[in-house]
Amino acid sequence: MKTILKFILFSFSLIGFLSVNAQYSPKIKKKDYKIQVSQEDLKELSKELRKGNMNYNQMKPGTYLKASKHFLNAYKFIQDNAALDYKLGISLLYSSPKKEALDYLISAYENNQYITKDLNYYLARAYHFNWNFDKADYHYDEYFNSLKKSQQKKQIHKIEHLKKQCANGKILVKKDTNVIITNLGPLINSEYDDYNPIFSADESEMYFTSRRPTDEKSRRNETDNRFYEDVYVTFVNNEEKWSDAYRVDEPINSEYNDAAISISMDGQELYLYKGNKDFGALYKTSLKGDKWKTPAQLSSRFNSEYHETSLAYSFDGKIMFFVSDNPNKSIGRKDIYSSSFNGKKWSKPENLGPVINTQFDEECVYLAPDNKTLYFSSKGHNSMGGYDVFKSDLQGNGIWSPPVNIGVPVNTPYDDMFFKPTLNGRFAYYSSINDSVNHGGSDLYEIFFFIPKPLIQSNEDNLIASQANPVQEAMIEKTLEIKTIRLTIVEGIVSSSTGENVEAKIEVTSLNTNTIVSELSSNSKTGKYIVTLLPGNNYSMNVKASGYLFHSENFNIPATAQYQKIKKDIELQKVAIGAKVVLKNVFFDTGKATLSPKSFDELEKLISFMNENPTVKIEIGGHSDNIGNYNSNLKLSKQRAQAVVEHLLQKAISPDRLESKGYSSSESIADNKTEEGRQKNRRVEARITGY
Amino acid sequence: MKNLFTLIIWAAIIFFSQQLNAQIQNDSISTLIVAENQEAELAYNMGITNFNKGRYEAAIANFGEAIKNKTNFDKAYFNRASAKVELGDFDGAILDFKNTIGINSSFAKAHFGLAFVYFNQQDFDLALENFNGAILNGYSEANVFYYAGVCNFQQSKYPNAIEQFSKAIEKDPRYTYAYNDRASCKRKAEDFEGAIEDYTKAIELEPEMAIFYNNRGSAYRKKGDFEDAISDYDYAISLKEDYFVAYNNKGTANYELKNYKNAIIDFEKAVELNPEYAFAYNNMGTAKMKQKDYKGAIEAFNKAIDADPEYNYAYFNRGSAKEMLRDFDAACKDWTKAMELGYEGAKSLVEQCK
Repeated sequence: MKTILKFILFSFSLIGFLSVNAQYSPKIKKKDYKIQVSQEDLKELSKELRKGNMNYNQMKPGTYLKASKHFLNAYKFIQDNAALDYKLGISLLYSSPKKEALDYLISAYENNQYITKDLNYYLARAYHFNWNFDKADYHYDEYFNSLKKSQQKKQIHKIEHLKKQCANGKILVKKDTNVIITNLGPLINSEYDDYNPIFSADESEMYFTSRRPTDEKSRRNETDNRFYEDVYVTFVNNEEKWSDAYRVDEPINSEYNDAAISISMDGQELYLYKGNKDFGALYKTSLKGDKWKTPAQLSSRFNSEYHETSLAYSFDGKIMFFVSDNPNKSIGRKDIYSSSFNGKKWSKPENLGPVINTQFDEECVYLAPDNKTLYFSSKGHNSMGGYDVFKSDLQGNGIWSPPVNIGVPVNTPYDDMFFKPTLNGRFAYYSSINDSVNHGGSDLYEIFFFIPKPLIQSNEDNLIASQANPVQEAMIEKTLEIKTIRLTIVEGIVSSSTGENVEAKIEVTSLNTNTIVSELSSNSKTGKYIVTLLPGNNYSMNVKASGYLFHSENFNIPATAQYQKIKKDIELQKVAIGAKVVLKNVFFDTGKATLSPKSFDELEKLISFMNENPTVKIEIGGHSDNIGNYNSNLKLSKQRAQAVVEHLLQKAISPDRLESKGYSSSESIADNKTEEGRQKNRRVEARITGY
Repeated sequence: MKNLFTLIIWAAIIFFSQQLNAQIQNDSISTLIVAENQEAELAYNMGITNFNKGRYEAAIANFGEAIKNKTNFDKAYFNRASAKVELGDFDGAILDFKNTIGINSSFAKAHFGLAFVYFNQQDFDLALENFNGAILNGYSEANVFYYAGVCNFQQSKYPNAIEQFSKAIEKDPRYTYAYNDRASCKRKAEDFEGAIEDYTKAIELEPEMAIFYNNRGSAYRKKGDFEDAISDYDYAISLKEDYFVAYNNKGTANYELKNYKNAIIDFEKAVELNPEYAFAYNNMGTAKMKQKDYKGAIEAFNKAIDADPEYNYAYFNRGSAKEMLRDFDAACKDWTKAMELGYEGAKSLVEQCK
């Protein structure tokens, strides 16, 4: 039974309130037609009604969509028919555009408010989707009061929840947040549900999940009569716009449900939800050149016999969040769980607890790179309808702060989900049915956060009657502060001195804490790499590939650094006589030849290079800038080179493979006139002298 | 803005002359018996005749002649100062007023005249000192208290100003300007109720003065009574059809009511009446921003900046509009300019631009 259940489950399913109410199917009788219909039209009308009814009675989102189209055709012939109004309204409510159900349900209500027992309920739903919280609340009450006592008992929780959402909505609409929401447009969005945008740190590519048909042969899922989930991708083109999205090939997509749920910062690893023939589970795959490897299932820790969906990793990859409907540990149905990696294995997942999880569903977990801000969607808390996006901060005491509804216009009475801010904090992407522009079902939207700024008006009055000049005043609105994430993104291409792109191992170490913060590889085909760095640290970056001399970089990111992108292409030199590397993470005490302990990590890299290439001989060269006496610089640079050699000797590198030399300022690589140039010239180099 | 400033200066001079015309020592000295040494008095009387006929240069020569013949002739110094004021020679006037006082320190009108020149030169400290000198020497017209009040107002000393205006009103209970200005002090001190009361008193005494309605409208606006404000602005405009200041204020009241469409109509009317009115262009831009018409807003801010290239708020607002169109670099440039022109509020944004 469970396996069958898995089969029918999607990574995410927009069925919402469908399960609870089974609605009526009132007959559309000829005698109720209020207008004359010709014989020919009557034939056409009967056909549309028959097809509409057939689809309507199957009660699945996919069939409701079809029913709505037929009923709309029928509506051209007969209006003011309560039964048709009702059925058309319901069909739209259960498919899209939900908003348009309202006119038909109002018409049904005006023509015959007793046409079905649940008309008030659906009318309330339609008002709710149209942001009319007062009228929605009124009709929820009307519906509830019309129920028998026994029915009231069954429905009270649901109706109370919906009424609370209306109350929340009335409060939330009063606050306008500083955002502009833009539909990503028809190149990305289809008339079917499109959701869960995920993107790499440099926002050059975006994957998402769609329930559109691939081609005419696309199959519909039996449960909801809609197309299976597939992963789509779009890239930023030369005009800085998203290109026409297309379906990703196998092995990402299969004939069943495939959803992309998370991507690594460098875009080289993708996490998937795959609803295979007899199992639904989380998978991981990585990019080799331009091909994705066969996805491998994640550990059973995150794949229970229940339904696991959203997935998010912390910036350092050490904490993982996911959503599960495992009833053994849950507070509501779907809850958010976390697990942490201790260097060897992942801990037992833990429910995030009642601050975050409610008795209703939580979904779409995402942790911002500051490791402190959690975004997720919930139907509980103070949602105004369906899922709303919430934010919670990890406080100093390790407890999550009470979630805050991120407000209108991001949140709507519809499902607002998969909210993901970009690294510079100015934009976010999410999926919703935002009223302004919608291509059908859930669409992807871009959110632009602008820092709230006062609009300043100038006014003046003749405050002093005896003076012709009015007295001027400025009216300044109050301002608010917003937090932005201040990350540094380093990106570039690793290539060889002969021009071909190289798949190199890249290791980033924090010199402050002496811990590895990032390990990744450049893409084997494009040579592209992306590293993201938090402010307030000095980092060393080591780039190595077999057959090449390694390369080192140093990034000192002050705590005050703003969001920035650094472009750093790296050229690796083949192991050959004359190849050299500047050891950018070797540091000395000022004016002395004493190695700073911060240098050991870099020297360790040099030692492993020497061990991996046992025939290589090197010269360590000390260089200075041209400030001060040439000869004393010569002496210091020689001593510093010798200090490095001594360290290598201690680490069992054979003395016949090492020599040291002082160069003073004789081999400057940059302009000595600027401090920046002089800093570059003060350096230690390793040069291959034989192999 | 520079043009506007010049305009103000000229308006002040005209007003000033009207005040001093009444001040000139107009009583000619009896010359029935021309004694031996009456040259000074003769010249003095000739000076008065010329002054009254508007021949100020000739009058100055006459008074000079009188002073030459009688070096301690305080009235001649005083009248020469008044003639110099008429010609816009304020520095010369100050010297002559000072000479008058040097000869006769209790010459109250000379203190008043000197105070008035300083007042005209916007030197409110020296003006106030000399208005007080006039009062001390027995000058007790309502207007001296009034002007002392204005000096206090300009120095932002509102309680002192209120005291002076109250004295002016005590001397002349129909002194509408004093009511208006006292109301303005109360408004500045955020006592809007008190301000409205005083403006209303001024209106009752002089119901045709458009500025009183405009000012009361602004007090209502500050208090948050936007509907009342609009009705006062409308009345002000009905009295003074080209009152662009009131149109601009009405626009702001509509803006506060989130009635951006009407606000824009008001601002448009203001610039139609005064095509150089930078404030109204700027405010129109803010209303367009609220309508999310960022391109239209930028056009309006451009016009505000054309009219006044030193208008820091217009740069700031334009930067914010450009940001909405995602033109971040241009936005940063505008915010930087606003900061350079003295708007401190732009600082934090400029820092984030880096």
